[in-house]
Amino acid sequence: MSETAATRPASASTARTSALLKLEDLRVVFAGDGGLSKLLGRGKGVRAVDGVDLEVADGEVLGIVGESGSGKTTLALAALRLTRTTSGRVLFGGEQVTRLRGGAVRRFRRHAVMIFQDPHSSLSPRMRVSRLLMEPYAIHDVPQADQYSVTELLQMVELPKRLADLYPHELSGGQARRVGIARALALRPRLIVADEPTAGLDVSAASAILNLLQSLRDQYGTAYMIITHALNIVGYLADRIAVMYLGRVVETGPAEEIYDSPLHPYTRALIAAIPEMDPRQTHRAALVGGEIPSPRNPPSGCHFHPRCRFAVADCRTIDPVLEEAGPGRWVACHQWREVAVAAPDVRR
Amino acid sequence: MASLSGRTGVVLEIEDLAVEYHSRGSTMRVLPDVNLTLNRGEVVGLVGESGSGKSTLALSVLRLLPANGRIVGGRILLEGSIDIAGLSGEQLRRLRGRKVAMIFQDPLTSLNPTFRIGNQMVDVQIAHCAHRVRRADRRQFLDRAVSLLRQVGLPDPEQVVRSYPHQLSGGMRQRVVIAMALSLEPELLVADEPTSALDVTTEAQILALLQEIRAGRDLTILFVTHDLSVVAEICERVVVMYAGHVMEQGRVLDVFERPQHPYTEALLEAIPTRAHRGRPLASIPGQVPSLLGELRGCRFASRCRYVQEVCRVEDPRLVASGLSEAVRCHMRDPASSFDHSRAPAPAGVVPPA
Amino acid sequence: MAVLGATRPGDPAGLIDFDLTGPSSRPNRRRRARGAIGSILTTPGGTIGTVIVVGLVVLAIFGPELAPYSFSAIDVNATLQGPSLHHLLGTDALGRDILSRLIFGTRIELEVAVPAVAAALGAGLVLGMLGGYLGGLVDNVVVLLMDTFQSFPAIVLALALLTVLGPSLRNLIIVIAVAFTPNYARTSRALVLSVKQNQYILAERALGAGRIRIMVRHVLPNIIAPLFILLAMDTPSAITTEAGLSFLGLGVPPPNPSWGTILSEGFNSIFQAPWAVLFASLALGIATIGFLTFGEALRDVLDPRVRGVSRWRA
Repeated sequence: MSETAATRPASASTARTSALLKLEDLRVVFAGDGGLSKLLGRGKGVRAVDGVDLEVADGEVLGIVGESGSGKTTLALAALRLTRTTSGRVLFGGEQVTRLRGGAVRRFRRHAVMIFQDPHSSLSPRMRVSRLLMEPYAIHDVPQADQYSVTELLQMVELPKRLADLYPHELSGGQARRVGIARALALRPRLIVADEPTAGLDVSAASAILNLLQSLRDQYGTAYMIITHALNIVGYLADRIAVMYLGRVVETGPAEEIYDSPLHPYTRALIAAIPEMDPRQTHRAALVGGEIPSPRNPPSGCHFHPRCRFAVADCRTIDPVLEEAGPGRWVACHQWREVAVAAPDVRR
Repeated sequence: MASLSGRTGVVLEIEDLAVEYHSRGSTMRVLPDVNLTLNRGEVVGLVGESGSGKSTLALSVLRLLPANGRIVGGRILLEGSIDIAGLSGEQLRRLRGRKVAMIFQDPLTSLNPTFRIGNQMVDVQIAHCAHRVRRADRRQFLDRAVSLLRQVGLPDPEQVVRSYPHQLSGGMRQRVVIAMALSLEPELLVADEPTSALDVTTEAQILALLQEIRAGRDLTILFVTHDLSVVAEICERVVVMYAGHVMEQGRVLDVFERPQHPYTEALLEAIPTRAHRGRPLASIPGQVPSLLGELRGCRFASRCRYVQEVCRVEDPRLVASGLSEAVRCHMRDPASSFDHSRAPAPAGVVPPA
Repeated sequence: MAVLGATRPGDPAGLIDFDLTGPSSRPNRRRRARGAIGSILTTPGGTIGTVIVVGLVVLAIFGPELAPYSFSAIDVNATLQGPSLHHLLGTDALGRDILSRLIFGTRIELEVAVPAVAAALGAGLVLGMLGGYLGGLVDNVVVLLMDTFQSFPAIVLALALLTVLGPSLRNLIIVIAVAFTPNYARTSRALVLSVKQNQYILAERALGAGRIRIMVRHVLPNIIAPLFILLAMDTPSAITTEAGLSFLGLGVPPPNPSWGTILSEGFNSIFQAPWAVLFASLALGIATIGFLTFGEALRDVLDPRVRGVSRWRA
């Protein structure tokens, strides 16, 4: 395969030259009970993505973390124009992609690809693996010289070449997931969006996939947007983390910093809630009470305020916006300065 | 460990349990012979990946195997005297809920969508009522239901009792399910992945709830999960299963710090944490062997980093080793023909500080 | 002694290439295809159905050569006779051999029914896919069109069209095809709607595939199986529709021995010599049972939920 594009080794901290993907005030509202509610704006619609500003730099791994109802999957689909956006812009390589049509969209899809959560259902069931892998080349009319062979693609994801003749349902979960990754790599994209890359996999298979993603990144310098609810995965893989709650980004920053000193009360709660692998750790941070409200009916002002122990009157009425709390650190919280100095609370 | 009432002793003893599944002429022995002991008041984690047999084991305790599954050998002794494996249909019905209760992974499908919560909880009590139920009894059962819902942390139990399952959130439903399981004051609670379908924050709440409940009652919990961190969080003892066999068993502190079995060791190393940043994760190559037909030798042999010839031929026995109560591995068995000089003792896996 | 696969650096035990449980490899695939055909024959229904269908096809192709008499051979001396050595199933009012006429009729039935249903499948598939996948206005038009056609009973529709077009073999095929198309369009559309929800369609869109490509390569192969089953089960309906039309005199013109024609001619002498009616009805009945059971056995084979090893959940 001829080297047409220069491969960029990933150097996380220095690759901040340009924003590869930029989301500006992105909103995705799903119509409620009537089509009119979308027109009227604040209708009964579900505001799955409620004004998100986000950036992914070239070669960077951004982890988007959130629980159910956070809108993270919708965000990923919207960023790739796989679902309708209500307002806001998506810029890829500086170009606006939100209003593209036809051939331009197809060109965009060469460079930004997606790996789906359920490996089996994202592979067309009546096509063999070899055809599935070659599909991207057929769609984009890629000349032979620029193509990877089926064997090469399988090797890239550490699968034996005999898998090429099989159908998706004959593959194990881990194998199907790797085929999905290989297919995504075929076009040498600059951005890969991975939705729950290890969901449903056993520990050993999950680790293998994470290793694979890491090594592919080291080799090809691809940028990643990893969507997950598992903080430990992004803790391992991501350069930066963005935390989402009910359609909004509440905090972003370098992964290490978010772990060491989370500024948003929800981030603190999330980190506190993760079960520790160390059985000797008997002290647990205080758990946040209540449950995630339905995205259909989010609380007013800061969505997190009913469950937040730092909440003050303003939190109920004023929507917080992302403020810079340090180099590369952004928080959407009225009280973040108080939260920053609050000691970690301990139960028992 | 003594429980609240001060009673000690063994609540559940599984002896040489063998379970098979039949399908279209072929038979699969999912559990060849499992031995397990649960002491009163303990929380024991039953850990394994897919294909390990942990769910089959959990279902067997209540004889809830699907139609094509059958217990073909061994005993399941409850409190030393009742062999669950040999009970008749009516006896089983009396046992379930009353002595042993079970909660499942998906709270939505555990509840009947067409009945209100209150109804379902009262139903459970009626089903086990020895005498004819009068209106006064129903009132009493309902009050008890409300009280239980309050105990599991639901803020407005009177409202919940009037609600339908779909009107509650996932976390609330799981609390309801727990309350139902407790309504007959069982001795043993079998929990099959009760938090796997929940958000992290909700999972933390439910785990805390289970710990609270156990502390306030005479309850033993068998917690089935694939998530080792949950085991570290809530369990005192752990049983590690692989391909139908118990591979290692012991106190959580011991097993996590000094795993004796290569599988446990590999499992602990493979879990990604922030501490592993920048380094490749250890993963276990290969796949779980198929359980169709006869298997020779140690079932983990094809993936074990310490494997030797004897492992492929002979099934290792369960022996105590290190601090673990039982380990099924030739490397840990001084009496086996394993060449002990060739394999190093595995380092203790110290969790990141 | 298990043989391990090739070893590679990082994989000293050769584990990645070798797995005990792995999916089947090439030599097994042929065995599996034979297995599918074999499974049809395992059930009594499937065997009977297959035998009958195959028998009818053979009869349609080779029967006319083997038939003892020509279908139009009139013998005024041997009218309305019962089964005998010369005429195994008897003769009709013009002394023609019923058996031979039925055999020739088999060819006619299949010549009409099979192309008609196939054409209905083709047209219905296209309409259903366009409507189901494209949605919106196209879908509304398709649904409206199909509902209109379907609101007429097949026979009435056929009658109307034949009166306009005139009876002939070709027109008969067209007419029956038109009558059956709405059913296929409706079924295809429903299948397309359900396939559309699948994530692999989204995945293909994410790769940049256009609508036509998705419809042809990803939707079509996944909906074709149930449609073939429908084909098998609709063939007897087409046969009986044709017979009905012939019975009314609107089918193939005499002396062509459509089973329906045999029936209608036989009705005049049903009390003296019921043989024509009896055996023609029997033929229709056997053909119907044959195709229906074949179709059901086909469904059992093609439905992936019924076939295959059930998943063990440990």
